[in-house]
Amino acid sequence: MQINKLLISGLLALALSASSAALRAEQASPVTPISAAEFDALLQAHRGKVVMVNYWATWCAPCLREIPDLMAVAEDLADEPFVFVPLSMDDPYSGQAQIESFIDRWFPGFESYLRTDPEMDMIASVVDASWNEIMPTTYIIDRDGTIARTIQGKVSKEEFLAAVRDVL
Amino acid sequence: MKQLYTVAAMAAIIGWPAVASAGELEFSAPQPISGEDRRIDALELALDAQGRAHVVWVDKGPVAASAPAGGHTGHAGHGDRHHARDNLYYVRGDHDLRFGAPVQVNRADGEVWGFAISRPRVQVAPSGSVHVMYPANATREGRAPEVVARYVRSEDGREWSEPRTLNTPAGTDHSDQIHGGFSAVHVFGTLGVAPDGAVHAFWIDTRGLGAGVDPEGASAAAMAPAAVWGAVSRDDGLSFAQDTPIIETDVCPCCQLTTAFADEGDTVFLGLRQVTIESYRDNVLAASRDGGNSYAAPVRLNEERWRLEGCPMKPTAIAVDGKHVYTAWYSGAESPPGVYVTTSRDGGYSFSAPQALHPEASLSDAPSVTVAGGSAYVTWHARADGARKIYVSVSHDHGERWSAPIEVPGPPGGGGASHPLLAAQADGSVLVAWVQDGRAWISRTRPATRSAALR
Repeated sequence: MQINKLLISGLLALALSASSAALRAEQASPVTPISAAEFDALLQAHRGKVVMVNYWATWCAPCLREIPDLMAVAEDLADEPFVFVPLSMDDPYSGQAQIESFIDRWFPGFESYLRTDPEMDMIASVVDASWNEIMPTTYIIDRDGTIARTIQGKVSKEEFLAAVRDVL
Repeated sequence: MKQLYTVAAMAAIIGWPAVASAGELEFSAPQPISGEDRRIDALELALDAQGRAHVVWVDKGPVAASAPAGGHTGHAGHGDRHHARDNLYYVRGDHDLRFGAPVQVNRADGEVWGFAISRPRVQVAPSGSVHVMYPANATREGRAPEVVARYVRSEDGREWSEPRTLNTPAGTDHSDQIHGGFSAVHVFGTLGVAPDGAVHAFWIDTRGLGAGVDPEGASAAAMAPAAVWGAVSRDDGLSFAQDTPIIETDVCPCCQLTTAFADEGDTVFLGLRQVTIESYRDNVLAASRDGGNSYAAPVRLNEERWRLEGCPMKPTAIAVDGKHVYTAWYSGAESPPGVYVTTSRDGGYSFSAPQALHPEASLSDAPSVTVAGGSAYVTWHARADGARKIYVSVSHDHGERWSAPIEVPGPPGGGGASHPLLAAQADGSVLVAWVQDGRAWISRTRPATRSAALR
């Protein structure tokens, strides 16, 4: 079913690709490059809110299967003191343009940060120095900036929602 | 004491003054393999019969060009992701671990598809020929791009053969299912040269992706039951038999394969991770007892089963010493999660209970294993007190007991170290190579004393 959704999304994206490419210059990019220091500052700025950080990559199939659920969680909690912070762990040398193209094609409306540090470990350590490089990894961070829950592997939208609501 | 004098004398003779002793082991000063102006990844190491190190890596570009917005310009025709831009380099060291200028191995500039957990492979045959396998981006007319299993060989490490694609062309097109839009991928491979000179290549193959699976009824994990395919050369890599399926389904598609040999090459071990329909991801070892012609059902190595609908990216390291087969691997299910080792004393038919090698570390991962002078060595990267560092443990009793983790001295001021490798030398010493700050490093270690406490 998820693959069907991906295909449908992909077809829609393809149909719109010409116009979206033309509009790219006028629109905000769905991808924001970010360094470890900037990522740290971003999370500091979100203190007082519950933050859901998600490590994903274009080459990680389970990551892609959960992105629609994560987007739905963010939409459901739009009125809550909650922030969704996706971080792409793709090779930064692949570049922002490739990730933009990917998001345009498969996940229109999805916005993500993209690491700029050469090693994943550098930016991952901002949240968790013991991250084991498993994808996807999602952290639910409470209002004080403490990791309340670590979720590795794809889970359902309901599980994500329950994990966030536990600390909201 | 006598042994210490012996170590010091041998160190002086072969030119590696031991600079650090950590109880059980002594280490030579770390030497750089790659230049300081390039960023490298996916390091791989092998030794020849003279004990010289043969190294390959994937070049990721100049250090100064850090993650430009918009990325590399790439090369046309390789799809919208995994853009071809990386090259594969080879270099050989001398007995003092001095390395010359690296040589680019791949001919199609930028075609290499590699990173830390999808390494190229290098092996040296008894004849002295050097064999390299790597994943490469490729295109065929009228199809979405694919990633193929590429192979090259060299007699001297300077001139390399015309690249050969080991996988036969996939007739299926799964670009609608494979992330990245590839029609097929033949990746996460391994290559080994048996003592009898046979060159065995294996890779994870998606050509049968989803076969027999109900897309509406199966779990998401079962949507991607990859297979292991392989090809064998029995003429020193000059030709390969047609590739065949080795393990036809339930292969975790993102955990690189490993291989090792016993009985002069009659026994071929293949390390992999399987995935079940319930998303259990087990470390297993498959064995052929007839030189790679047929493989028995894999033996599970872990006790606690790791359930993960995600990408572990964790291979199963193997080393063989007669009937003793050592495996080292990461588990997210054992307590605590981290690096574990198991040993077989019956040629790989059964294995001991897993032992944690670094339970006090907040992270331990990426193990490599070898056997030197009858002792087994495991290396891994871990976070125990601050930055990620390289550690080694040694067992002198066939895996019954392992030493406490021994930190490998890194370069001064170095940052996080990762993805170490081991290679055993005939004199009983062991080479340890790793990546640190985007650069490849190497050190030599050997036992300093056998008096350190074992557990």
